[in-house]
Amino acid sequence: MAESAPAAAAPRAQDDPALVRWSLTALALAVMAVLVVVPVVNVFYEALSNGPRAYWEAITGDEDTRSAILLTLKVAPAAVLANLIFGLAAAWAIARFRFPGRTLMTAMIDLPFAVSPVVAGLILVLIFGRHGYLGAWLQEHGIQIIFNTPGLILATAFVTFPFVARELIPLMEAIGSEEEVAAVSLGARAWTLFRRITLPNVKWGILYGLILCNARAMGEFGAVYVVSGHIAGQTDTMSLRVEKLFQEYDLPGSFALASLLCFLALVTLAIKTTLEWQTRTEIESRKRENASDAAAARPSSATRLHLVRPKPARPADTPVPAEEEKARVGISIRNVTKRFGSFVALDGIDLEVPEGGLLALLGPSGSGKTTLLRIIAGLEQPDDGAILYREEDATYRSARDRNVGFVFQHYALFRHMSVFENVAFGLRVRKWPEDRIRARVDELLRLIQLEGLGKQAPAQLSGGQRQRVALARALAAQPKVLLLDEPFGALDAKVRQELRQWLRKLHDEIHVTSVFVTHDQEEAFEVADQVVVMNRGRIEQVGAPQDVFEHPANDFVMDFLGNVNVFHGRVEGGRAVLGTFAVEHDGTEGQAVKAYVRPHELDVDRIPRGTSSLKAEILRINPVGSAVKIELLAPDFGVPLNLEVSHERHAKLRLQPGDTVFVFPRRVRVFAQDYQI
Amino acid sequence: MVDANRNVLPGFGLSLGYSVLYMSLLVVIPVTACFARASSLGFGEFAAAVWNPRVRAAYALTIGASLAASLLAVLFGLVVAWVLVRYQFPLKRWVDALVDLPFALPTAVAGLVYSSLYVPTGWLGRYLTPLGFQGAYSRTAIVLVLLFIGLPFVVRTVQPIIEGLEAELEEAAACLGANRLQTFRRVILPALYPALVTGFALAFARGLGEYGSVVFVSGNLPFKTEIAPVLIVAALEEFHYSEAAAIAVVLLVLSLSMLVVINLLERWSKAYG
Repeated sequence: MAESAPAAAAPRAQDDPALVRWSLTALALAVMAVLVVVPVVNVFYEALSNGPRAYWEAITGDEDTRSAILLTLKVAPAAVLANLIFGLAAAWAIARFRFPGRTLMTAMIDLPFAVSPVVAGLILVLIFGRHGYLGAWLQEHGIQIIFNTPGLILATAFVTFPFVARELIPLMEAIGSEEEVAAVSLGARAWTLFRRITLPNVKWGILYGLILCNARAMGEFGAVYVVSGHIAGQTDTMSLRVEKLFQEYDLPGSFALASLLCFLALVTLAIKTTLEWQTRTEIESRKRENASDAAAARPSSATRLHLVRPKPARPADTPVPAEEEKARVGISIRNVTKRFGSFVALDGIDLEVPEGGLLALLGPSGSGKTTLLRIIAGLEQPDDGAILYREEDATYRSARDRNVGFVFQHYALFRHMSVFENVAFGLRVRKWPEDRIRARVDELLRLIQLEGLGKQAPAQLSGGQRQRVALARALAAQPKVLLLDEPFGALDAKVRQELRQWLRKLHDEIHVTSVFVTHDQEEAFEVADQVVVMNRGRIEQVGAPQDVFEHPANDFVMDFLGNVNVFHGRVEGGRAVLGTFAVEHDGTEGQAVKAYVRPHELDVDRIPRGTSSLKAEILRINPVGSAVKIELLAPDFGVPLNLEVSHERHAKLRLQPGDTVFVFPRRVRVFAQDYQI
Repeated sequence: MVDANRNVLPGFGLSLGYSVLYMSLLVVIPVTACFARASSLGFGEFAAAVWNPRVRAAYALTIGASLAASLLAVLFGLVVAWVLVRYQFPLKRWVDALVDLPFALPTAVAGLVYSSLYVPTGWLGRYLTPLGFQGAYSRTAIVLVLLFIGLPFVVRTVQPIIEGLEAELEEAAACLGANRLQTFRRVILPALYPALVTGFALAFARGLGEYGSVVFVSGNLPFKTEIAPVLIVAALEEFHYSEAAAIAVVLLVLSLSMLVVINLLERWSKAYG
């Protein structure tokens, strides 16, 4: 079944089938075309249908149209300015202070979004109109608001007043007040604070709010319709003029003016979109700075590859016989290579996981360990090579057909489902009967010691409990393989320690072939039967924890296992000469070497012992812990050294910081320098 | 009140005072005045103004058309948002930008062009009218134009939620054996519900109050294509201020309750996320 057709790969878990993709895209484009694009084109087409000369005439030749344009240019800016000042004040009060009625006030700001513009116009007429509450008084003083420009401005301001505030409040809340508080503590007065700190931070938000506010103000219809009185040449705004021309069957004139408004709308959109792209780029660059290495090692979700879906090789829910087959190979990874662009994430990986084994993939960030795990799961496709489950090719099987249990670093629990439903999910989609689901989930909840918490929502659980639920969910459908991606990475030290032992115990009980990824060597050594050390997309060493620790295959493994003293030297006459001391080493004469000595493999004394001792000065002594940690500086090397001695030896020598002592390596591992780095 | 603000930042009194004053003068007092005016009617008069057959038909049309339009907006908006987030196609950024056009386009322009597109000689009407689709001067026309106005509310509410969906959830579902449809129905859709409902409520609230575009396309026939705001304008033009205020009160109560619902929904979806 292992065809050499790398193009025919399984789809990624988040990819939709091509048919769905195409039809949904077509539907979305059709909706947008019919609802938006065709009308816009139609406006300009109708406006220009009698030629550009007639168009120009329709706009400039009609005196009432001209005055409508001028009136709009007066009304809209006035309303926008008033709302800008309000928006700044309201945002400052709401985003920076807590006071009673704050929630109510925030909700009230949205009121004009919900109120019909006609109602808005009406209530202004009820107050300021000739028969309104203030009508008599206004008339006495010769002030006319309704059927006049002030009324239009009021109506427009009413309808558009949320825009600036609505934009600024969340923005200012997101930015927080730290900078402002810092400025105040540095002595800034209110105006300086506003001008130098707040305003620069929110200037794009203000601009954005202004543009939206202005667009709405220019186009407002219902509210100004009610208060205008339709006095041609005096109280008709552009929108109202469009309607009047339409009522008079002057369609060319109506469309000409409408095309002007439509053009303004398109300009608004262009500015708005540019602003959004800019903010988005800024946010993304900030995100990228903060992104953890682990996330960086994965491909971004923006670069989706669309791959063809193959036929599943076998029904997914074939139950797995729970027989013991120690000798068999659980998972074989054959020459797997994976690139992300020019970055080689995996470079010809060969690995076998024994049936029922518990294997740790250990390595630094970006070493390819998570990518390998995701390829085993089918969440990622290899560019080359094959994955076999029990000697059966699974390379082109999709994740859902592989029957693997995958435990994600951040749990990935379905937050709208209870704990019970989360665990039951894999069984429900396999159409298990209800009573079997119930029995199986209860059994698993017992196993993870969360009996009685089945009805809880994931959000109500602690991190350690969530991780156990994620594990139970992964195990529910009796997977052939259990894969865990940094399973304890997001937990605090104590819980991590407990879960490690628990996972080891669990594995001893259920013997499912398991692979877990970690960057913590202690975790790998404590839990796994076998440790695979990875670096730069390659495997550096495979072995039992003890073997890897005692016999590191190369300098990388030695380095990575950590806390080690490094000496640089050269091969001279069958010995590695490292400054003032030398050890036996057969290598090419003159070759550069690195020697590694672990802290507990260094001994210390007050007097020298032959040629292999090293003079050093004690910098610091840390007696806390099972051994005494001593930091020294070797003047011959100019490098700091770390060593560990027993408390007895420390007491006997009575070492003090500043003492000059002699250091002897009990065990030295020498590796040829790697010049390829 | 100052007690609650052990805050070193200046300007609390000024900013709160100014914004409360502005909102009171522009919104709170006028809205109260509307209720006061309506209450000047006796109960019988009020009931006659807000509950006669013509008004009832207008309410039914306003609510029915808004409901139909916002349901369609939810359906199409979800598809548009999904396609914009998940798929690649040419001119995608332009399509994305155009989604906001109904926010920016004056409603009178929308009304004008929709009325010209669906008449039997219009660009779309000439193909649709023979099929029996009356897209102008009909209830369908109202639903169409409200769909245009409501669509961006749904797209812009749902889009960021789809963008924020963790890939891990879908991967987890796939690893657990769910097919794409099961994953969508059981994992993705529940995560989108709050946003869909909020988008629906926003589009619905906007549709209830829409006037400018509807008067162009509906023909405003009493009992057939006359929406509630048109009745207010008609009452005003006959100087029946109190009757206009009475109908306005009904619409106000409706929109205020929508506002409460939307706020609750937003809080719900925040707690949910």
